Amino acid sequence: MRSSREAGAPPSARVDPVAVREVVKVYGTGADAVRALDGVSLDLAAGAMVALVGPSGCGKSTLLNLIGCVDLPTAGEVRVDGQATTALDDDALTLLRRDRVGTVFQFFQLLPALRVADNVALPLVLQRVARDEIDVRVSAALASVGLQEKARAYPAELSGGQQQRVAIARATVHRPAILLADEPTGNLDSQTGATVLRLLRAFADAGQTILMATHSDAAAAICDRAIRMQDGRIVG
Amino acid sequence: MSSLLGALVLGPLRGNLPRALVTLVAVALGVAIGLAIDLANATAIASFASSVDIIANHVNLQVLGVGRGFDERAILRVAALSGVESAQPAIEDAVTVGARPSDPFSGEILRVLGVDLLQPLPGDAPPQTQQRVDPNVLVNGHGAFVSARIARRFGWRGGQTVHALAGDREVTLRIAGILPRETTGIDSTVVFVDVATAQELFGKIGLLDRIDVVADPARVAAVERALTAVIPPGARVIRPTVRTAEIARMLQSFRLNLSALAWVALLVGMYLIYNTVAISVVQRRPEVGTVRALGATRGAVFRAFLAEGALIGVAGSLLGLGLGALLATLSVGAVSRTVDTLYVASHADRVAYDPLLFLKAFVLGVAASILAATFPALDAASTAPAITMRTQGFEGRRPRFAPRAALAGVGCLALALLCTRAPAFDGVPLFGYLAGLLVIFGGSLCAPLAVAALARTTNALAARRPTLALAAANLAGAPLRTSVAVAALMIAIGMMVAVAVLVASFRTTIVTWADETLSADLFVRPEGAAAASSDAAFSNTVVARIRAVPGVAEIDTFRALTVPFRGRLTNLGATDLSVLAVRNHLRLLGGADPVVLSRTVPGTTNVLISEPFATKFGVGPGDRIALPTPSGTVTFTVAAVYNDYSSDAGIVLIDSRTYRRLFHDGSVDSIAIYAAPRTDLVHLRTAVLRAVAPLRIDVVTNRELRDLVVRIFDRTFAITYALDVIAITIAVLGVVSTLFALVLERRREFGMLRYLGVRTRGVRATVLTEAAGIGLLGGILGVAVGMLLALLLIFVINRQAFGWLIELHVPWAFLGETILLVVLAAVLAGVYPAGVAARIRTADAVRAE
Repeated sequence: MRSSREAGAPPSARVDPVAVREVVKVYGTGADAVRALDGVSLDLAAGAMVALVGPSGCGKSTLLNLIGCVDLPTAGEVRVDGQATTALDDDALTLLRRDRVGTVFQFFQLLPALRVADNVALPLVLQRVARDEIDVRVSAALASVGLQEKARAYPAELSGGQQQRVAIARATVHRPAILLADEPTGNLDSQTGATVLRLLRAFADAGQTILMATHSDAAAAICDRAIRMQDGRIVG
Repeated sequence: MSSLLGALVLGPLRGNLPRALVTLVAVALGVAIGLAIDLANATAIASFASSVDIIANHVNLQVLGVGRGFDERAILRVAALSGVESAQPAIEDAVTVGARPSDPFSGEILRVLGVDLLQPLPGDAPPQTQQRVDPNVLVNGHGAFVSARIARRFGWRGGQTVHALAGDREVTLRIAGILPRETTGIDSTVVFVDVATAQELFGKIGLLDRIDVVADPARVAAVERALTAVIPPGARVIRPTVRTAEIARMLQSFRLNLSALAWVALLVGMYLIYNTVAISVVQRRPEVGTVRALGATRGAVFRAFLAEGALIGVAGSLLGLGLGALLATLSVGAVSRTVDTLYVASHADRVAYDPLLFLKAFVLGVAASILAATFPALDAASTAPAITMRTQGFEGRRPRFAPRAALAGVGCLALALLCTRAPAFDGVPLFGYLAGLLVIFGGSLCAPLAVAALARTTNALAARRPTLALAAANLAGAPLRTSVAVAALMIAIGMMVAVAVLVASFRTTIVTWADETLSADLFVRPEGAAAASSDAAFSNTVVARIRAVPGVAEIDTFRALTVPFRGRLTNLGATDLSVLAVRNHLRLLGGADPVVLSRTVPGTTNVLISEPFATKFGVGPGDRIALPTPSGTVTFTVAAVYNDYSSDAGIVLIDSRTYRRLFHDGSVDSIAIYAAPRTDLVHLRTAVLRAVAPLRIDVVTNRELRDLVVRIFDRTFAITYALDVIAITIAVLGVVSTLFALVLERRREFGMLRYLGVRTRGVRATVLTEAAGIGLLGGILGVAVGMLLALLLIFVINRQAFGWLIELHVPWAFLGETILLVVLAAVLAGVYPAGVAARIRTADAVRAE
């Protein structure tokens, strides 16, 4: 059996889950080039819950993509769980993402063909964790978001808030070093959004590092601190 | 409506061009192959009709003889009748050109038409040439007119003397003129000679095969009645179109079966159109919701999606017409060769491009496309705006859909079983074809349950294999779309399996039949052209000369003729039936006693009939049948039925003594030689050839003749394999289209999977696993449906259409290989979509909504 640690170095108490140094990200070339990130540096300590705020197009999503290992910086360095992403090939990057990153999206992004339990189990199945252990951990993850009774339902049978809670269970079931949340309440009404935020806060209180991109003041307020971005730079 | 069409159909179609093109090509192929076969069939029929048209533009009545012809003096009585404006004598026979010894497929049969070349012919299509032709050459010098086409093919020039075979005799013809290319109304495969030359060439001195009559158009019916009174016994008066109709009816079953097989390809194409439009509907639900919310009616939405099917149908059909016209040039050769071998000389060398057939193909293609688009269009129109505006998964879940569909499928199969009990309709197994369609639809309706079962099984096996689990979930998540792809593959494979089982069964049956019935040691035929269409007979002296060869213990002779019976053409065979008791080479049915028959049939009007004759005409032992003979119409009594596979037109077998008495004809077409014990067959063959020299005959051994039977059989079915390959190509295109759509639709999901840590090869493997799943199900269901279709073909359709009784023989190894090959083809079809899936950019895909 392959270890869930195979792709990256074991997390260490001394290593910050996320370290971003002087990162530049340019899309396109020549006259069409767009500088989405311009010299961004950022450290996230273990257990921190940080909000990334700023207007649309300021570079929040680009930064999340770089930390989420789905894109690489044009210049500078992104370290996830101590590993520089630029040093990894596509396969290694995939494995790092699989093992050490969890993501919650605005539109939930559950796989409609899979039942709730199978959606949550997916990261563990990909890590080839033993079936018995998967069952136990999925059950615990669903319990942590209060959706144990929906395990056999399909995503389309759930409300938006329930789907987002399933997405949170999926993003945390494999105990990632960093949980990225991209506008997690952007598609929910305020009451449901508040429930989701309380849930994320509870995970952070339990030691989960969280970086959340948001437009919502309520969402930013629940975090330990807020980083403000504008035109590809951190401005506060 | 037009803006809706643009928003819901045209714009998205442009965005999904590769998939739309795949569907379009599938429709084009379906229409093309159907059209090509229809054109080939029509060309074969048209070639018979053209022989009438050659000189008979204004001929409105014909006197036709039976057997060797009738006394030529009849023309005097015919011409003297009031209302007859012109009466022309004609001999219609054939020569073989280019035949080689010991090669039964060598040589080309050229139809020879003997007419009075010295008389002005009726109408406007006499053999006119620019050359001046010496009348003496025409009458006494074997002068012949040939088309520029024939002259080019054989390298003949005007004035040249050429050699051909008339039966077993070598004859010479002198090319008196070459008809210019622009001569219209002339069948380019016919050689024209003077009637006197024809009589001499074919040993028909004093005889005519027919008289072409131009009667006063106002008095045709009266002249027809008057003719009946003056024509010789056994001859008949018919209108020219009747003869073509008789031939068309003789070929009816063959043509219908081939057409049905060809149009199955369009049926497969329909599944693709259904899938394409269904995919469009699902992909554009949000847009449909928007336009419905803005006030578009259900009808407008329905029409917009129907228009998508129609658009693909029109474009695909137009492309199919062009492709079909091209394919027809290939299929005409194959079809006319089969018709020549099994029925009568067709000589179709140029495709008869009938505009009506093009119209039929176009209408069928468009109608099938619109019909296929109807259900998804209804689905789009019936969805409420509130639902369609919500973002949702690819296919809405429909609980209990699969079991309900399967139940309907079982209902279809039960109906199919009922249809098999119904009799043929005027010789056409209409209910048999309907049963075939029901089996196809029944099988298709079982596909969703099979998909669900496969998904469950795969999921259970996939405990620690994410690609398997994802593939299983995806198959189960889009049951309808996956099922349609499976069903399309199932039909194509089913058709191939059905034809393979039919061919294997038929082949085994024929080999066994040949083993049992071909008992002589050597068989003798005129050289070359081993075809039923060859009317070549032996010279009178051949039988006696062969009988005298040392080592020949006994000989059987056979003579075959085409005779009209109840508006169709059938065969009359003459052989010595007194030997039945000692040498029973017939498989008698119904417990008929050969010893009794050998006493009661010879010399009498008792006859045996072949099984296809019994089935086709619904007659049996004890029944009486009236056939025209040169001695007048004679009523024969059916003494027994025997099993036969040599002609689906049926055979009436009479004793050779009776034949000679009634038909005044002592000639034979083939001779079977029984060697004396311990005779060396190689030496005997040489001795026989030497005894009949310089006549040109072929002597084949028992083994060679059996091989020849199998070769003819294989040649006949070659075209069906070509049709299979096209249907399977269409189905594989369907797999490509379905997978491609699934990949595009699940772009966001694949992006998500990549986000969660699935590597590119994992994405690829997922798509390929789905492809293999579709292939496996298509293969298994195809074999199951194919077996049912094979049973239907063997025990219902062939039985009713041809009268064959075929023993079932299943080529198990072939079926296993088929499933494996289908899985492989499906996986190959998945390679491109899998590549597309693997290249999806993770961040873009997940962000997009």
